Amino acid sequence: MKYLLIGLLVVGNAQAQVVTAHEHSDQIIARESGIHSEAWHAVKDASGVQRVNVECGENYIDPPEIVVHQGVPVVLSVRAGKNVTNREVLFSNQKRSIDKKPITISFTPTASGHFPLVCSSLLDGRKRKEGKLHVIK
Amino acid sequence: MIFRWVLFVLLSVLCGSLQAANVIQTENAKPGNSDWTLSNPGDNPTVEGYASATSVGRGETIRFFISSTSPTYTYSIYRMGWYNGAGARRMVGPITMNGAKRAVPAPDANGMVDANWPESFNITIPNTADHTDWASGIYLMKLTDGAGGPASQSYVIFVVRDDSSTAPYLLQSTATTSQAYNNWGGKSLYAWNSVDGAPARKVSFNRPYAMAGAIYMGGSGNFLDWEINFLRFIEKEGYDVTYASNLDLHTRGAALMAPHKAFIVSGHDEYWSYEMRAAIKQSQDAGKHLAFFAANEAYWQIRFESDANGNPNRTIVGYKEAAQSSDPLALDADKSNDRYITTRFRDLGPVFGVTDPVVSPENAMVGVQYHGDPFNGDIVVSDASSWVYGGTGVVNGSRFTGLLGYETDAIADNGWSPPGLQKIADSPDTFGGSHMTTYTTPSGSVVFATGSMAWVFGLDNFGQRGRVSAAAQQATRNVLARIGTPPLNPPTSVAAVGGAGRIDVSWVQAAGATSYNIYRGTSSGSETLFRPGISGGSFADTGLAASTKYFYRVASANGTSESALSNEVSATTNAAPVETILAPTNLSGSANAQGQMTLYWTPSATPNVDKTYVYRKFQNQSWVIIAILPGNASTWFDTSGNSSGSRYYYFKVAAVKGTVISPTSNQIRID
Repeated sequence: MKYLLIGLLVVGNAQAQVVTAHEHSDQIIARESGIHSEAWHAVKDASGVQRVNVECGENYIDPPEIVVHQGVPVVLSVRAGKNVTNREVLFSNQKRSIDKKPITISFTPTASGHFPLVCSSLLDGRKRKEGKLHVIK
Repeated sequence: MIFRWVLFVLLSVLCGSLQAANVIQTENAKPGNSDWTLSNPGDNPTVEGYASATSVGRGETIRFFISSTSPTYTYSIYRMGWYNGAGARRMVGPITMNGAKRAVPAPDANGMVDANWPESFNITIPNTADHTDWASGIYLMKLTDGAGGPASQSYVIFVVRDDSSTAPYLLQSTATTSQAYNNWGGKSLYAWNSVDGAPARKVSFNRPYAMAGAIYMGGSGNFLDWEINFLRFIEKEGYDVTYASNLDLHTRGAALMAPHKAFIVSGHDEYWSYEMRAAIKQSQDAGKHLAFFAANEAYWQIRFESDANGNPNRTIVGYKEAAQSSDPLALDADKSNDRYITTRFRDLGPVFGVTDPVVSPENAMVGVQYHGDPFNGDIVVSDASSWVYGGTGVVNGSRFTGLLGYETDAIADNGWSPPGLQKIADSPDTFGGSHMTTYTTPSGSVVFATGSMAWVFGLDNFGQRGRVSAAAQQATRNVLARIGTPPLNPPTSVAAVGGAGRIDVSWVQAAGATSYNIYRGTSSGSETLFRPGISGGSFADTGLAASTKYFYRVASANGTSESALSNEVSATTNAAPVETILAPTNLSGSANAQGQMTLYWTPSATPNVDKTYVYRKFQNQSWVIIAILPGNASTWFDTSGNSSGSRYYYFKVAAVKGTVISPTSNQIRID
């Protein structure tokens, strides 16, 4: 509801400007919330767990943005992309090597906020792609 | 008689002119009407509606479902185009209708809102011999509340198809993406604009498009955001284009593209069905070209279902993030239907284990794929030598100001990039850089992708963004020129044969090719353009170093297009020949009283001898070189004077050129 209200409010303002303001409501919301419209919104499965599949490539982390709910268990299933070797995933205080077979990172977010989720090279730490994990209430 | 001849010529010229003008040119020469815009749009218009289909063929009937809070309303229908700047032509209206307020149903268990209103009226599109009579195009029905007042207007959008058209270009209206974002009734396929932040898993076409942006787009979906800029550009320039919605690609498959040469989308084209991907794959195999002046292309897979009244393809199924936990096709035990699971195309393989010739990440089709948003910036040229930039004046580093965003795509190193993918723009963004690309399949399908939704703002200034770029317009013309031609296949049976300082490359010529471009490299896969414009079926690469291996690929060309590269061939030049050095002859000599010896001989007949060796052997010992004379010598005088008593020596000479030594001359004995 929060998002809808923000969207309607801003759209209402933009309407008066008609062709001078070109932002879409999803752009406006992204700018104000820090969560982009294509962010991956995790969904609880039958066991009540928010499961998200993450792929680490040489030049990408996918999805680059994940949204989970506070207080609900999360399982990130992280795998290496095709033809990708020597990668690791960094999240919170965890640092895990990854391969084609997914590894899982399990946690229950206790506080809302925006947290980095990083795919990095085992050989060169400068080769890293940083995604975002948003915890919302 | 002369009069009859003049009349014949005049009629011929006139008829020629008429034949030369395509439907779009003729249609846009008609008077336009600039009153198509809405003066009183709003989030909750007092009159709104939807159509029974996303497209209607000429001769077919389309039905409309309207809700009006006032007892009367008017409708006018406009064909969108250029029309000398008016932007549209009014086809009918304003027509006054009696109206009634219709209910907004609550979302069902899937979050779907199907208005299911009674039909208000319908129209049948004329199917006259004149194909500019309700010409194929994107149409907006303008609804106006009879009582007036604020927020009293909206649109209904639909496409008119001309299924008999053989126009080179087919432009797809992105109805599925418009519907996915549409939150009329409180629900879309997105959390951010759905009630309670809970997205629908199914959305219906049986509802108006809610206004979702700043440019009075109520009822028009995404059309007025991006597609209109591209449409105005191609209609102004008179390209021979015909229109369809992506539901037509879904239902008719590759048959939709059969009469045409190129498939075009613009703006934002995010939601595709398996059938759409299959249709484009099949079309590509038949040499149809693709141009994506768009971004976020084919990101989510969707399915279609009938509505409650049995009308097919009126419901979009899109479980998206909930696919793994909720999509029945993911939960059932039938693996054969997993290719239809409504998740991202890039997830079907690695997450759901689908192996299918159609299923692949979207970059396998487009060349790039979505990697982030929102971002607004510049597209930066990285390969100004590309055919896309011909005549634009750009150089590497040139910027297309403001044409990057707000969703951007990039090349992904996920193992699915098409062979021969060329990156022609590399534009910094906050996600690591987005790309503009092109590639050509062996079937001759040319594919171009801007990797940006905002490219269309460089083509036309609708929306007053002020980003029109002459270079972007010219690059777009270049793309349209290339994809408006038949597919060009690479030459076949390419072979390379090495020789002395040369390699001869030959091939079987391709239909439609007028010349061939030779690509050469010194290692496999390293070929770059080496010699363009070679005529015939062979090329002699001469002046090469000995014992050197070269790799070749050959592309067909015809002045406006270039095929994919042929298979790779290689050959090695011959080893350097060993030159025969003729031996010196007629060696003779003598010793004087002091034992000093003088040798004479006829020099080698080989020109440019570098030096001459003089060999000496003492009695039965081994030969040693005792003198190296410069050039092609003919005499040698030994001042050592070491011949005395019973001692004797043997002598012989040889000519030397480079590292090659001639046979030795006759040998002589001097006592």
